[in-house]
Parts: sequence; structure tokens; C-alpha cells
Amino acid sequence: MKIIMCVKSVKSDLVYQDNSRYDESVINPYDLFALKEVLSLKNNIECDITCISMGAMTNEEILIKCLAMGVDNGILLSDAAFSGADTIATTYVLSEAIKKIESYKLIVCGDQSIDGETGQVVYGLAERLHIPCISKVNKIVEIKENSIVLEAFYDNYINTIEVKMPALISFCDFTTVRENIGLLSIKKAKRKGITIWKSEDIGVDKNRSGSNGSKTKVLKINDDFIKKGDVIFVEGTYEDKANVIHNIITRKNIGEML
Amino acid sequence: MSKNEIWIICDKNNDCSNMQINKLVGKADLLAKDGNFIVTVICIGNFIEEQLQKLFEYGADKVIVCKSEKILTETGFCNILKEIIKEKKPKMIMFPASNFGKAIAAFISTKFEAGLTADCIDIGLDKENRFVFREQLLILQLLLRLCVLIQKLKCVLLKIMFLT
Repeated sequence: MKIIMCVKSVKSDLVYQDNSRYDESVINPYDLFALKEVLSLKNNIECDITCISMGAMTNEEILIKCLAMGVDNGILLSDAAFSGADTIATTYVLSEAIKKIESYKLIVCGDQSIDGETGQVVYGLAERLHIPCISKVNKIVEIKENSIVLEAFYDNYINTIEVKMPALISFCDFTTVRENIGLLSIKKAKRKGITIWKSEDIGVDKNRSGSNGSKTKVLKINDDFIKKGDVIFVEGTYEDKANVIHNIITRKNIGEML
Repeated sequence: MSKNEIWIICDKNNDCSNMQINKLVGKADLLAKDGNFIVTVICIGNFIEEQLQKLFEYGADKVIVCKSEKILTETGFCNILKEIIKEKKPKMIMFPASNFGKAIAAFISTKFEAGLTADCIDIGLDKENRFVFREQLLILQLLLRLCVLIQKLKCVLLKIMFLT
């Protein structure tokens, strides 16, 4: 059974407080949870897992880590034409890449990314690939010949659903617990290497991908801290302090007093 | 020329006058006054007449009701919505930021290749009468986004909890 797993790399200081111990970028915690669930499937059934990621060339190390954890193939979609993509452009590029990988049975995603927090790439991807989409999956109960049984959260209750494959599922939870990966397996994974696909390889329309294909444009990012005043330290005798407080109460200008 | 429309999609199939929808209608009404739009509420499901009447009190100009006795799945809901959108071509659509609303927004925006912003906290209009959306980012930064007017239709997902 062929499984495709979408991963995203995020900056480690968004995930871990003490980021000096970790690399600059780590796997998105939501994706890590999904990845662990998928890897645990390997104990029961025979499956071939492909990790796919879109981003800069530095994402290579993320995919190598995935390989070391037990994934079979890693594909990196990296091109200048893919950069600056919003939800619509991302789903377009991902769907074209997935169409190139044929005969997949299951696509697995995390719930959302920790830096973008839209959580809507999943639905867009399913819409483009014309396959059913089950979001907020709690666990995979059983895998049958042509269908899969899932437990999924739906507002206040849990549904048990049977879906025909191929299907797209997204897990509901996240984890920040990192797996201990042996140096030897990282070395092996590095030797194995990952596949890099440019925009020509998957035949995407450059006008529909990246910032060209994005329907939204970031105008500016600004801090929303509105500082209304400074802290005032009042020193001196009790009388001075009492005077300041008295003036605050009687609404005189504090600046004049000091 | 007919006026452009702002749509609000009701995500519940039996309750169209909850706080979320009311707030969205209120916000859309403010925008409509600035930019000369019509506020339309789309309700798919089975509703009580009184509740539908209440939407007008909050500022809706038009309410479109699609009667459906059974509870719809996401796919069914989308198919109905797609047909209405094809016919009426609204300028902007707002969804409540529930799980269901988010899913519908993503499905529909992909189908029509329209811009999508998630978890909006505010909407404004710029000089050319285009929508500017604000969304909250991690680490308390605010992101201002402008939907490019390639397609007439734009989708916005509004997290109403942040909107005052």
C-alpha cells in the first residue's frame, strides 16, 4: 500500500523554548504526530511511505530525518517559482506533485502548520485531487482491502467512518516529543538521498504557483502593541508618594508632578 | 448595474441566529454602508421563521433559504453552495470559523480559485473599494492582506471571537 505523507518544516524557536539544542528548522509538530501514527502502521501491514515537502533547499535535512525515522522515500519540491505561495497556490503545486506519484492509496497530513495556522490546505488538496477528505482523525482503526476505518472528531462527538481509498486524512493532534534517531540511520538516510523536483519536473504552470498564483497578498506586518504610557517609579518619603497618588486620583497630569 | 453582494454563510442546519452569525451580519452591514454592498445571508437547512426574521434586525438586506430536511455532509453542503455562487456571483463570502465553516471555505475557494484568508480579525476597505483583511499571527504580529482582484469572488474566513 502506497502512502503519501505531507510534511512542513517550521522554525524551531516556534516549537521549542530552548532552541539552542535543536537545529534551525524542525518538522511541524502536527505533521510529526501524523508521521508517527503512519509509521506505526508499518508494524501491521506492508506499506510504502513517501514524504513530500514544499520549501527551500534547506528542507532537505527534514526529509532526511524522516527517512531515518523509517520513511521509504523523500521528495522535496523546491523552486523559486513556488515561493510566497498562499493556500490556493500551495494546494495546486502539491496536487500536481501527488498526481505524478501514481497509484497512491492514502494521503496523510497534519492538522495545520504551527506558523501559518490556516489548517485549510488539507481540504483544498482533497478538492483538487477529487478524493474524500476526513479531517481531525483520532486514530486509524482498521485497514481493509479497499477501504479504511477511522475514528474522527466531529465537533462534540467522535464518528467512526469507513472511507473508500484513495482518501486524504488529517490527524487532530500534535506532539513535540522528538524521536531519538541513531547516527547510523541518519548516515544511511543521507546515502540513500532524497528526490528533488523542480517546477519543470511536475509540469506546473508558473502563473498558478507561488506568489504569481496567490490570490492574497501580504500588505504589511506590524506589531499591534499600543503603548499608552511608561512605568513611573516614585521615590522619596511617604508624603511624596501620597501626593503622587492623590494627584492621580484627582486626575492631574502625572508628568508635571515628577 | 446591480450592486455587489457580501454573503454570510450559516454553518448550522437548524440555528441561524446564533452569536457568530449575528456578529458577522453586523460587521457586513458596516462594510455595506461604506462600500455600497448588499448583505445577504445564506441558510441551508431547516429553520424557524422567527429566527430568519431576526437576521433582518441585525442588518441583513436579503436572506436566501435552501430548505433541506436531512442533515447535510460537507460535500452535500458544498454542492448546493457552488450552484448558488455560480448563479449569483457575490463579491465576498464570510464563513464562521468553526470546523465545518473552515472546511467549506477551503473547498469552495479551491473550486473557484478564489483568495482565502483564515482567522480574520478585521475587514476594511481601501481607496479602490477593495477588501483588506487583517489576521492575527503568532507572536502577536498582525498581518494585513489584500486580496488581489483576479477573480471577482473572494472568500474570507472570519474568526468572530476577535472581532469587536
